[in-house]
Amino acid sequence: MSQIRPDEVSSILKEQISGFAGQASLEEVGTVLQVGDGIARIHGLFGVQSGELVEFENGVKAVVLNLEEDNVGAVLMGASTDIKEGDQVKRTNRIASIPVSDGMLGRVVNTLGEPIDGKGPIGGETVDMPLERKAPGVLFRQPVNEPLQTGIKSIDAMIPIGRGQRELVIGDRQTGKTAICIDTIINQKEFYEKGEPVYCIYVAVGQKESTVKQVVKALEEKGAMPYTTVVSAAASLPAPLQFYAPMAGVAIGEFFRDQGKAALVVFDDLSKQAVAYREVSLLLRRPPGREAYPGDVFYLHSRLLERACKLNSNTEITEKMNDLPEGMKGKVKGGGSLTALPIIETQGGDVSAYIPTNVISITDGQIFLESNLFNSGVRPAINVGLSVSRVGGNAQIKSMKKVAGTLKLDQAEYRELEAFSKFGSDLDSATKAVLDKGSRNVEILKQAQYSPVEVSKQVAIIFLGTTGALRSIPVNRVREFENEYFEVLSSKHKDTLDALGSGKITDELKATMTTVGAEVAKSYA
Amino acid sequence: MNVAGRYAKSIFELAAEKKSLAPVAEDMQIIASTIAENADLKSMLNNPLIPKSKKVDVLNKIFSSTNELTQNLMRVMSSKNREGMLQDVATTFLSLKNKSEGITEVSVITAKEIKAADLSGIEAFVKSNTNAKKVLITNSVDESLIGGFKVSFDGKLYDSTVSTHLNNLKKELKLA
Repeated sequence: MSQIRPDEVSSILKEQISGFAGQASLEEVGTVLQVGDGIARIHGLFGVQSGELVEFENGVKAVVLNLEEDNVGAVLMGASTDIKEGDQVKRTNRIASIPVSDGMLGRVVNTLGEPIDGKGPIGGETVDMPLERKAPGVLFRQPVNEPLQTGIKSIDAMIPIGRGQRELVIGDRQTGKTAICIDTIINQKEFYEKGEPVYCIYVAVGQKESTVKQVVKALEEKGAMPYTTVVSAAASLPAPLQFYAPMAGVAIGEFFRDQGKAALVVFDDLSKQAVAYREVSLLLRRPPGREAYPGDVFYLHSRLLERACKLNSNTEITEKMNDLPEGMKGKVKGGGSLTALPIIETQGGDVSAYIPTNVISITDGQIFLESNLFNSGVRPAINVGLSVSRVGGNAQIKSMKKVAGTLKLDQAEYRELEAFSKFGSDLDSATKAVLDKGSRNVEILKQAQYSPVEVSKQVAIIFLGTTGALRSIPVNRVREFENEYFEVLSSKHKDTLDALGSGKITDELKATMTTVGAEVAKSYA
Repeated sequence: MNVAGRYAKSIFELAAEKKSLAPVAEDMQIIASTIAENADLKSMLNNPLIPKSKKVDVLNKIFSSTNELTQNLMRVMSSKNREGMLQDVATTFLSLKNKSEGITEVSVITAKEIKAADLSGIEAFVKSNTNAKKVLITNSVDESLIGGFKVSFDGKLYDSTVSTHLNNLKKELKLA
């Protein structure tokens, strides 16, 4: 660290002190009646609004959630140890919000938007973005029409995600839910380098600090941090900070979305957020419902996920967007999008529990991960039969749409016949062909962690799979073949890949792929 | 509304009906200040081990010169085991009365003894910020404020003390 010169210190101090407003003003105050379990009951604060930020004498902030006849219930956003009965509480006249700026990219912040990575204060011009904000109305939206490339073959081909979509990632523990989302973030590097970044926000709710650290390290190593913000509310923090963390993440996403940019927010995970919300609700004495969750836990998730959307590309219309924060006025541009990838952890594959069914019904589709697939070596362990994307199909590039249509049918047929083939009886040649093709396609769809594949290469390999060009290759060597095939294509047929990536699919391109495939396949027969 | 508020509202409405608001208010003033000044009396009223009859006796002896309505209130409250709330009822009653007459209670805390001229300035300030017809100022001195004054009324606070300004400065410097 460089030495601090004494004159520097005093001049800074002088500046700060001269700029210090010593003016007192008329403030609305209340007194603490009781405090405990992260909840404070306050007398007074007669004009306070629900959702407003209030401040205690020692600087700790709280959010007002309950307005009752003779007291106000507020949840503390900090330690309750220094707050006593009879302490004064001030209104701030500000709905709970966090300061957001471009300087947040590459940083790890907490729910209040404060940096927690030890890299100093956050730079850039900040805008106050409210934690709770109404989602844009119908008028300001447009259908999802651009793809969000995850770089994962099975998702981009069969469960495509569009920019502005909400796609749930659901599965038991240890099935690779986080891995899919991290890979998706890493895959956005391609667009960042091209100058059309998809800004990513990874929200960690109720996780171990060490897990968050690992994620940040992986993102740093893969060069994904320059366009990513990590919001962390670790398991050791008070429940209010945990259940507001996804809202902080979405507020950061909205900052980019409203400026006409693309953003992606990952909520890891919403089951823990629901648990934190249940804790706060029960402490506030709200009546419990099913599984002891409060009645408005559905609304908690629906209003959060509704904020992910594709904005109208007409700036004149989006400028008039409802509930636009004061600081964003004049900065709005049309065509921005906010894609959400909420994660839900199920217990023993039970998707019919309360929170999973809620979130399944809110989102535009789900990616269903299974532990038995994971254990049998199919990674990513996506159950293609149960996974759907309700709007992403419109956003797929043309070349991918063409090859993936066949793949989906092939795989459905394969799964149907696979059960029969287990009996080991004699199979006719047609069935055998379907099974051969299917098992090779399963190999194609396998992928290692942290290794997203560009969409052009995805099209190229899936094309070979669906045309049956891999017939001669042994199943256990398909992935080896794939690597070599990609190498040949990118070294000798760059133009073909570029054309496929731009959505073209012509007979000429098909011919190139087939010949290159056949050539490479020779050495595997 | 809490329990004390219900009793206070009932006795207030009853007193207004019987046109004996002023004498009852006087009683309430006496009750509030007597209990506030005598910690022993307060703990006795709150003590569940002391039998009800004894509490009634004590109350009757202390507040023997009060209005009939006040006496009745004490009887009703002790029959319902609410003697401990007497002080709350009295203070709530007084604030109800002040509210109905447009009187705003103001508490002024200063670091040093305040001059009468300054108090009238505070009165004018409060009147300009509320629709109070009359302002009732209670003044107390707290040397820990170092300097300046603190005015609170109606859940609002005007804090211009040196200690608060120093605290704010401390917070600001910590943030930067």
